[in-house]
Amino acid sequence: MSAFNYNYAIVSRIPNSFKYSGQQYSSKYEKESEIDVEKAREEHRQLIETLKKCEVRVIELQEEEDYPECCFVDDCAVVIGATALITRLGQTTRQGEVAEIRKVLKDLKFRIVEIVDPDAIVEGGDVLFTGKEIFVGLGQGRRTNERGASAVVDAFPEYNVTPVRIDGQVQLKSLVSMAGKDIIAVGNSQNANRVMQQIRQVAQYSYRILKLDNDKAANMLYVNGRLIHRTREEIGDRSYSVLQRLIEDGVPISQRVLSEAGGTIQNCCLLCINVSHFKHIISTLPTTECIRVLDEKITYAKHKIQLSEIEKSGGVLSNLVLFLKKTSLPKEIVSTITSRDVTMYSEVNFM
Amino acid sequence: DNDRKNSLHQGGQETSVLKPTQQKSNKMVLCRVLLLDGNDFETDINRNAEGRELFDEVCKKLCINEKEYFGLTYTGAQDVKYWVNHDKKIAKQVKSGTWVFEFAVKFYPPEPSHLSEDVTRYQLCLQIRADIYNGKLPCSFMTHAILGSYTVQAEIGDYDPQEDGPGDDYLKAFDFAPQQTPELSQKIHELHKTHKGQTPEEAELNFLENAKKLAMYGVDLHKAKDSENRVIMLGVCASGLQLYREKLRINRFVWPKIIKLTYKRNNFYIKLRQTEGDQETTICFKLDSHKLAKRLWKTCVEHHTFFRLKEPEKNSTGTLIPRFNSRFRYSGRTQKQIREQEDLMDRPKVKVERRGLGNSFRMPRDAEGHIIRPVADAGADSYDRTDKLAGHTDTMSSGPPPYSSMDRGDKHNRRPGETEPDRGDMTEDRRDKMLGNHDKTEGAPGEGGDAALLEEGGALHGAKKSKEDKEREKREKEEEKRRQKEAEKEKKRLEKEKKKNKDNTEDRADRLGGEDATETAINGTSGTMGLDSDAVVLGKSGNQEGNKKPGDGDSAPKMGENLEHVKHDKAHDKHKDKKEAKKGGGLFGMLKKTPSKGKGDKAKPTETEVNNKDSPSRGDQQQGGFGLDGSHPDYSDKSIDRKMQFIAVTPPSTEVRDRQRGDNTMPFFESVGSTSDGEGEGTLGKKKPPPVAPKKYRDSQDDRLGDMPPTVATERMRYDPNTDDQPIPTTNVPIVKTQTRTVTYEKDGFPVVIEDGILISSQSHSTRTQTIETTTYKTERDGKTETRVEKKVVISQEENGDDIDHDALLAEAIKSVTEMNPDLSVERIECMRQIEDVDGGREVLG
Repeated sequence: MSAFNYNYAIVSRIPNSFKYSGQQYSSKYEKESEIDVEKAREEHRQLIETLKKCEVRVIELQEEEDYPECCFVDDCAVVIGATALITRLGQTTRQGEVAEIRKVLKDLKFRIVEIVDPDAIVEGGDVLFTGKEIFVGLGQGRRTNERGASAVVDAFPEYNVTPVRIDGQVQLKSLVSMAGKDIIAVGNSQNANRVMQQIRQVAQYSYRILKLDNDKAANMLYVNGRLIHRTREEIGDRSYSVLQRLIEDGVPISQRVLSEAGGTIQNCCLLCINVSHFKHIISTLPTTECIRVLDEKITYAKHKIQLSEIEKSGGVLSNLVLFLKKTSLPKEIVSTITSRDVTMYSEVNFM
Repeated sequence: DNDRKNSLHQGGQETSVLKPTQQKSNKMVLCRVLLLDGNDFETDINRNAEGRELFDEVCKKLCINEKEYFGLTYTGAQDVKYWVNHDKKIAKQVKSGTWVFEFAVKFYPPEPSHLSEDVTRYQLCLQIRADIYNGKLPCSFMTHAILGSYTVQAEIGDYDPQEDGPGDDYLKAFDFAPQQTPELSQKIHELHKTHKGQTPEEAELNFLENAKKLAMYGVDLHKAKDSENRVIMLGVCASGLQLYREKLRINRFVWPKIIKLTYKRNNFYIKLRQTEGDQETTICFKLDSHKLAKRLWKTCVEHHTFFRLKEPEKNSTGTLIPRFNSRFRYSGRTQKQIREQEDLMDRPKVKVERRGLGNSFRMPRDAEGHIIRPVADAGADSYDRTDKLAGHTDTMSSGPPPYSSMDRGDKHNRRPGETEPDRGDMTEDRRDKMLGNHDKTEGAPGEGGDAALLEEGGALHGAKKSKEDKEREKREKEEEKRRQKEAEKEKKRLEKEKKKNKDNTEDRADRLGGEDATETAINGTSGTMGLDSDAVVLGKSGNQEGNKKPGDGDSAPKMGENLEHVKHDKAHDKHKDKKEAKKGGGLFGMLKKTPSKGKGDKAKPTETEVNNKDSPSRGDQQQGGFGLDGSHPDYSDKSIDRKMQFIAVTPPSTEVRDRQRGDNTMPFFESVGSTSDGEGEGTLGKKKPPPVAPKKYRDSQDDRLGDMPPTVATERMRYDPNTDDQPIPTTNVPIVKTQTRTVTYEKDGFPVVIEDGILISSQSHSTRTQTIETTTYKTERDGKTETRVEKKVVISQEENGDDIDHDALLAEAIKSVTEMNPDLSVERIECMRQIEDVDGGREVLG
């Protein structure tokens, strides 16, 4: 069963108290102004609309005024396959958020795993599932810690769990995220580079790296073959022009390929075919292979989401949604590990 | 080919069978082997039988052809399981108690669908079920359910409400998970219903397809402590070494990254290749005991050889006299060889005898095949299954008392007596003790030491030496005395010459008795060099198998050195050493070091032996390496090498003995020394230059080795995909496929005219790896005279094409063309690659 195929998405509405949120990130993201909750809600609505186009059923939770950051549902649980690990957030004021999520997941018949270790802290935003293995970002202070990572191992023993050190107050998934099968998108900040270096060293499997200009651009959602990322205005024009050039250079974007992706693409609004990122794929593959990769990319439906208001609270795109795949009788383990993965000995994990 | 192999194999067995007769006692011993399906297999075997005899018998009984994936274990002290060494007498491994073994999967194939036979897969399934049941392979609930449902499907076929009843009661006979809840049974039942129509084979394949993705699949865990004394687990698997702390996988070292593996006392060392930014580093792990360190080391060496190499390192052969020392190395076929050979086999499909065969009738066997062990020895079983099992057994017709396979995994009853699986260990220990003692201690070790010395230089030499040693020992003793004297003199000389020959100096030191790990370390490094070339493990000089792999690369150079050594040895050991050191650089050093170790420790010799064995294989492996590759094709070289080794061996052995006596330090010790790295590298560098690759054919001491016909060069090529970056999946049928890739670069707008023109000259120059054809044409067009030079460079590798660095050769070729004709413009470069038989690059200059 492939990862990244989901049929449910959980989101939570934005409470009025949202404008006071983001304390923990204030050092990293300087507040230019107070958060305009209405604007944030508008952005959030757009996200939900987009999700609906991605063939997932959206479960929208009522906002809770007690938890200003309750919209960042992704922090509350890690769900892989039929197992849901209810996390324990670093900020004690947020820890109540998980209750609602737990209830929903239980209703959906997921197997709930609780963290037993009282000292363990795990935030969903620090857990990156690549489809083959899990990386957990460990930070300092009240952040995801090693014991939390151990809890992740206990919950998902079938996957390798590798800790990654993160400096500063950012979450792993705000630096790197999955942009497709075996494709890790990574920003260009020092932090992101350091994280990528670690992943490169210890990753069990091969991935392609999609290197982007900034961390915002690297924050995206890959769901059901579609990519949701931030708008062009937010991530910069550079990739855009690169994209244009790529197309002119004759990268084979055939109509056929597009239509193959057909149903799905038309079902959602295809805002753009943004190939620009892929120029940065680090690859030593033979040419033909490269092209194949590009084709794959192009078939993605892409959605742009503006999150400038929400971002002020320190949240990122991946925080906002919790994707689920509910299958009552799975025939196989959720994994994208292929025969090639297990028979290849690659010291250099990134092609 | 198959027939030939078989016959060879049989032949080998016969010889092995004959051996016992030579022994003093021909007593037969009752062996009990716990099989994965819960049955046990009992047989009488000669007391003097080697591990292989018993193992072959078990495989025969199970109809397994791909037997290298499996092994027999026995339980040692503290319930630690050890693999039975096929090349050593069982009696020497299992020291006391009853002979109870467990049949188990030794190498978990990363891609089970690559196994050629269902029988093999069946056994693998049984092992994995046991692993899951006893917690070695942790899974979440849903994974347990998925795997369990396939198990049920394979064992009892489609769900039949009439026979199986409406609920999940029929699953009670199965053991799926450590904690089996009614909920799990229910889930398995639901899933089972969805598998309708799957044959047992299909269900098992589905089972394995899921199991192979589990994080801990095929990971052999060893408890250790890191440099900061934190408890960690070292996991050995097909791709390399994994490092776990608190279940978190904190690091990973793939085989290509590891240059050398060594152990010394209870320390286990990994030397890592230099990567961007990072310097070459050696990481040390502490194990609880020397034996455990050696066990880990052996596991690593075997995994590396099996999964990473094309063929095992050569075994030094021709010993008439059974060796006292351990010479450990992996002697079976490698995964590639198995796949190649088995693919060619046309064995009729073997019917898998499942206890619950077919759809309709179910056998009462446990899902895991766990059975309670009847044997007291087996007593280790802590599992509760017995009850369930018993129930099962009743139902089952086959009925033998069930053993819990899991138990096997966890605990083996050890015989109190079994001191150690490997003599090598013993020897090592001795060495340790010996360290203080020089000359006297060693008796047996002395030989080993000699061997070790040789081994360090080139494993091959060592092995030969070891064999010869015994015979020659007597003779050599006298010689040794001389040599010792000489050696001392030499040492002095060497010291002077230190700059030139570090190795020599080391040897001297060893002789002196003052020598230390550091010296050895140097030797070790040389070994590592070899590794670098190929990425295998290394070369611990004397120490270990690890060296073997890495050694491959090294070995080639070493071989050359060894030859030299041999000559020298004849003349004088000391002289030889010096000379060798100079010539061989790394090799010499290696050899010398080992000897010194040997002196120190008797035990060391065993290690050295191992190395020796390894080293031969290294030679093969080396083929992959650049220099080696070239050399490989030439068998003559190999034979020479061997000769050389032999010669070298004897003399060294004598020397070694003396030295050994003097020095207690084991060869491995030396290698271990971290200091060695720097020096070793230098030596390695030196070694590398000698392009003469000492490829060797195996003499096939082992039956298995014998199986492989030397002619199979092409087959070896297939392996390539694994070794390097070629994306072609090995999954492909064994049949050789030819891939041709042509990349043409043409200068824009420049018309390419190939045919016309007057042929002016044509010459061809060929070396081992490449053939260069230069053709010059003259063309007149539009009044202009155009000279066109066509240069065709064919890069080919006969045997171990894999190892050759095509890109480098190609780049070199292109470069040479470009540089040689500055006046000409490059019009076209055409690269063609034929993977199966020929790799080639062709360039056309215009």
